[in-house]
Amino acid sequence: MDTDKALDSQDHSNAAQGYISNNIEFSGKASTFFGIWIVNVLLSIITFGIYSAWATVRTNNYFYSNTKLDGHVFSYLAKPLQILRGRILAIIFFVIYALVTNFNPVLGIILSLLLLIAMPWIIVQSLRFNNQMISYRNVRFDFHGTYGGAFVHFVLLPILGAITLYLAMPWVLKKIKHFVLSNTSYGETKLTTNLSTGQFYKTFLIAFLILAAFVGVIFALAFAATSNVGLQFFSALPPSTLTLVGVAYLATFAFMRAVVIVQIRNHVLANTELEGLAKFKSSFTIPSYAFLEVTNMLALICSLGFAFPWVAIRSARFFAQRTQVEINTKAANAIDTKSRQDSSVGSETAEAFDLGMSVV
Amino acid sequence: MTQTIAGVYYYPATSQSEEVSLTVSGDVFNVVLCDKVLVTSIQTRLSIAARVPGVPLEIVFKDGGKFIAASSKDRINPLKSKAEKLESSWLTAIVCTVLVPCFIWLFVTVVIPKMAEMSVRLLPDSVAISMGDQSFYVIEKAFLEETELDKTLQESVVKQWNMALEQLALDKKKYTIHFFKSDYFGANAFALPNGKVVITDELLQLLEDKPDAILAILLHEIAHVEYQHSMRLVAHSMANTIALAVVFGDMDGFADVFLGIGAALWENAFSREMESQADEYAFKHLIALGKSPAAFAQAMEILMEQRARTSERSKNSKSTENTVLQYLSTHPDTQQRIDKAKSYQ
Repeated sequence: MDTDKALDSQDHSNAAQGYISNNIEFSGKASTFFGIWIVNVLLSIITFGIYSAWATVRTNNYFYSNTKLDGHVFSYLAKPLQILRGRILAIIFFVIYALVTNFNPVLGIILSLLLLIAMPWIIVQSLRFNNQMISYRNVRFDFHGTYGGAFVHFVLLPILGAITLYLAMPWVLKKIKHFVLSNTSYGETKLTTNLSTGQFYKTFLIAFLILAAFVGVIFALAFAATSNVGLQFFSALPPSTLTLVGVAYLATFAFMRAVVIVQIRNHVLANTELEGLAKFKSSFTIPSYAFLEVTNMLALICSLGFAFPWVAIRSARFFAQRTQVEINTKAANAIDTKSRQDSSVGSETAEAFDLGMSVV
Repeated sequence: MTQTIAGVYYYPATSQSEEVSLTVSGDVFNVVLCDKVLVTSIQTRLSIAARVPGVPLEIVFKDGGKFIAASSKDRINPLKSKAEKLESSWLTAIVCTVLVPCFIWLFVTVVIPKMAEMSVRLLPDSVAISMGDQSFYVIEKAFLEETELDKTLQESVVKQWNMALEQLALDKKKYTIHFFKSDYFGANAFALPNGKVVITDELLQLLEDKPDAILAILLHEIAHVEYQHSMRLVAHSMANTIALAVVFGDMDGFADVFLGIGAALWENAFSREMESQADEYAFKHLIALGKSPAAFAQAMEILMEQRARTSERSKNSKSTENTVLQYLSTHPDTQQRIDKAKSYQ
């Protein structure tokens, strides 16, 4: 199918239906965020981590409130205590788990099984919390996935993927994306998504070929130099050459990662929409994304981590600049959430707490 | 005094919005659209959210309506929260930049090890025993093979071992000696927290005719058990992981780099400290057994020689079966240890 042509004709019909294309704008500044971040790090340390809940809220506030679409900013609504509660629970479990697995591995296996059973619930809870805490134009996002659905997608399917020697994994990943997206809603409008299994397979095949080509080239060079095949070759290399091989490997890996992330993101966003409200487009390119990732990592290492605010801000800007949203302005102006009593002050989410699980 | 702030008002439970101005006089808040008051509220009936530098003022009214200021600079006078003041001051940022590494250092080198040490003291002996049993099982299955030493050598080492245990009044039920052949460990000896001491064929063959040197190494291994070294290492790495999750969990790349470096340096220092503690124990007890600490020096010298020889050989023949003596590689500064043993009084 000629996708360009299809997109083109889509553009025209979109305009006719009242869709207007918008770029996401991100106005965060590394210098401002550095001030916020460094104070939060210090307070988190001297309070033995308790303040980290406040730090999370303030950081998210900064990033969401500096993200603007169609003239409106996003808001982050979570309260520190909700985050703290989830964190305390997670830490209690983590300490028990660490003690048990170290000192009584048998009991540790039972505990892991329990964790496996609880995992889908934790994931659903986290997705619901994280979505409900974001609002745009005073309307919240939400997540409607069930325990059963999460169990199938986050436990059973990955097991299936593994036992098919990862041959089914691209399809599994597609199913997971589909599960998360199609259960996400803005107000009462659910996201609809129509992903292509072929696209996932194509992406992972390319990634695999890149890795295979790298390994092939290295072994070909090794063979040319010493006319023997095998790993012994590497033990005879001088450290400088070995470093070079290491760097080449990291670069290949970064490139491979970029291929997967960029292709999948572009595909997913192009095929997902809020029906009647918004359509999405991601224009990531592989070289620019790979460059972003590599320079971020170098900056973090060279600055001993102090470049984190700069890295976070430029990444957010990168994501915003390359994400377009076509909005049906007329519909967007008149979203009604009365039936859900969507009040930000209300206590309907008082029981909600974050379990700090990030998926997708 | 009345303050006016420009922004957007969102009606409750809908995406409808208007560009408005917010007027605040005393504790009365009015949302005004072209001279018409849309909402009026007193401060106690609304919540002011997000007082973070660079984040526009947000006010949520009781009915769910929301006002968001147009500029991130506007604040309701004189309300700047303490946190926001700290976060927007350059001086604080500089002070924090200096303090953060100091505090992380303090945590990694003092607080976490202290916590680990305390928790080891609280652990019952049965934990060490079950841990030792379980790890011995794994190590044996994975890396050890049946010994090929001749019986007389084994018997003489065991005899010496038993005598030493008796004279030093150590628990004979707890401390047991085991012989194994191991390609993986090479010439090596190690102790598990349950008192099992393993010595490899490769090491015994090197020290075959020097029983005192063998004894010196066994005493060194016993010391690791007596001082609960492996328990302390486990407790420390656990304390580290927990601290990483609890205190630094939310800092992404930052903590990894800093904490990683700190922990690695500390662990190196700790393992050196453990080694010299175990050496001292061996010296002291060699004397108690009527031997000379020089026996330890002898064992080290033989191992060092052997290492020099094997590395020479592997260089010449490019052989891949290099039996680099692991015992030495995990125990740095061998020459220093030899000198210490020779001068020990």
